[in-house]
Amino acid sequence: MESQTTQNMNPQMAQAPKLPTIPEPKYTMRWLGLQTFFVLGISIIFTMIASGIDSLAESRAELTLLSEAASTLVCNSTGYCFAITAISLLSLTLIEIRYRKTVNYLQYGLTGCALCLFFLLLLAMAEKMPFYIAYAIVTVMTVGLIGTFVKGIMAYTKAVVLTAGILIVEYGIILLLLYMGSMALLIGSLSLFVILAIAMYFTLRLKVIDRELTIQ
Amino acid sequence: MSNLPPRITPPPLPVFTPQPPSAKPNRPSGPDMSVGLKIVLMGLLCCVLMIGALAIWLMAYDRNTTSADVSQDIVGQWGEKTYIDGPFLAIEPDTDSLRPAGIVPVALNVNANVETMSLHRGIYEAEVFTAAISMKGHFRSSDFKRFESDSITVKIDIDPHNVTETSPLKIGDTTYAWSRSDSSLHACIPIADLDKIEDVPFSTSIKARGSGGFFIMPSADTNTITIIGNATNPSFSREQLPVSRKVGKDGFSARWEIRHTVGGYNVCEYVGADFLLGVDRYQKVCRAIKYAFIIIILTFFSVFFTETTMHRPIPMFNYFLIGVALILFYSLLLGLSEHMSFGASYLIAAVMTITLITCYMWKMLGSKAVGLAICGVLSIMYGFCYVMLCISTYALLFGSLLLFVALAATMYGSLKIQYR
Repeated sequence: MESQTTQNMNPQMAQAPKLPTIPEPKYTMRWLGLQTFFVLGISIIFTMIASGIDSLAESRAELTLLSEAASTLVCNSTGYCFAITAISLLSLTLIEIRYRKTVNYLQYGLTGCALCLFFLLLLAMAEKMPFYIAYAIVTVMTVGLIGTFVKGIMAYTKAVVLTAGILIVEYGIILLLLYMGSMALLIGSLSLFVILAIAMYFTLRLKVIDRELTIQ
Repeated sequence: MSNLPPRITPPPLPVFTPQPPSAKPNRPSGPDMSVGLKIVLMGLLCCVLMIGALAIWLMAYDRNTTSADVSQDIVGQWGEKTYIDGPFLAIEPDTDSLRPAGIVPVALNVNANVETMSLHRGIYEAEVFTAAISMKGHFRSSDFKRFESDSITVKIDIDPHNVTETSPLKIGDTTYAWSRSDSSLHACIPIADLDKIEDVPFSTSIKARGSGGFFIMPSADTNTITIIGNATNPSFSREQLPVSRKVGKDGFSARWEIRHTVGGYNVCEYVGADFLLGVDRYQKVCRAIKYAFIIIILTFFSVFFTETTMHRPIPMFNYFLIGVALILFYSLLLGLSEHMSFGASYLIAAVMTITLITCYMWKMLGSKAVGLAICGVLSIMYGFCYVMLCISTYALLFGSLLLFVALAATMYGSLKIQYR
């Protein structure tokens, strides 16, 4: 009773009721723009690393450690590094928006490393076994690693399935393109066109509600 | 009561009112980006997208080099430029340097029909030709009497690798078979056969094949050379241009009439035409990529103009996707042009790109009119770009005028922009 009286008599000391605070929005259009530039930047860096793997494959072929045909296939596959890194990391960005689980820049970088390491593993394994078997093993390893990593980050099985599905489709298309010869450029361009159309469709489903990006 | 402290009114506390969802959910409710920053970012985005254009240009350049190598390989097997010199008289089959004036024919009439065609190896191809050549003319009988040997050789200088078929040399009423040496065709004729002939007429025909060019030496005193063919892009020899020529969609014809004075033979040059060896699809793609920057800039401005006039902010990410579609056009063009004609591939790639961007703008802004307007702008740009690729001589003038019109349209558009 006394303390209540004291409070009433000293209103300056009165504690303001704790009000709910509105957190600053994270997933904004500006964030998405910066994220796009970041993804393109690290994709360029990993492409440069992949070109180094390309040179390594040629030198291994010169040393007869790698067959000429496998060397050509590995070199051709490194040409798709930029596309696969950019598409995979941008997909991860959209999955991050969809499931509202923050993926930090280090985790993006590590995912990119896994995608780049694919080519080095492919080169190493192609020396010891037929190319397509090496490709299948390395694909399973990479998809498994990134899938487990995404599971650890997001703890959503759907996100893992989505990520793994996108990666498997990408690696499947690249394997087809590698064996397609002269039709590779045309089919690759058409595939990119379809992927771009899908990306545009998803951006149409991106809505800004209360300053936050959401995928509906 | 008087001991009570004075009443102090507490400051008003902030009142939390939950923010209602936006009336237009797809419109960002955050602070709009300033126009200056947006234009700077658009410029930056153009530069980033041009890296993609550069990568496609390098790909086209690389394929052009490979195509040239494959063409050279095909040509090496089929036959290179064809040069025909003769017929003329020689003492022995292998001597070709002793050709004094007067031992060449008095008159030479050559008719050649050059049919060009494409040879394919995978996606690469090379333009080659087959030629049917008929030669008529006559020698002076006195020239034969200058030789003291029992026989004389009539010779035509031509790479035997280019010769596919020959008909016998006919002199007077007698025919003589051609023999081949490393660099010529020759026929051995007994002098005794020629004693009865006053003016020695000859005729023969050769079927040859080659690529890149077809040339004949006007070696007689009086020469009439006619070359016809189905090539649409011959480049006639500059040293001696034909007296009459005709080049059309169906082919070409050219005629040379050359008369030498005595001794003038030594200074005459081959006459004929060069043909395009390969196909120019890669050069056209490389040229088309040069217009990429201006197409991206103009498209971005159109989108920006739409955004400003409709007061519907479009995020930079969407600009990026539109830019990627514009760059992907060149990849599609390159890929398609390897399997069909350049015009058809340009049409298909342009229709795909324009349709994608039109549908995107339509759905993004929810306005069919905007979609159609963007469709119109893109169609005009790609249409003009194609015209500039087809006209080589006037491309600079036409391009400059087009840029002037685009600048005027941009100025007009900027007058319509009102900022709130």
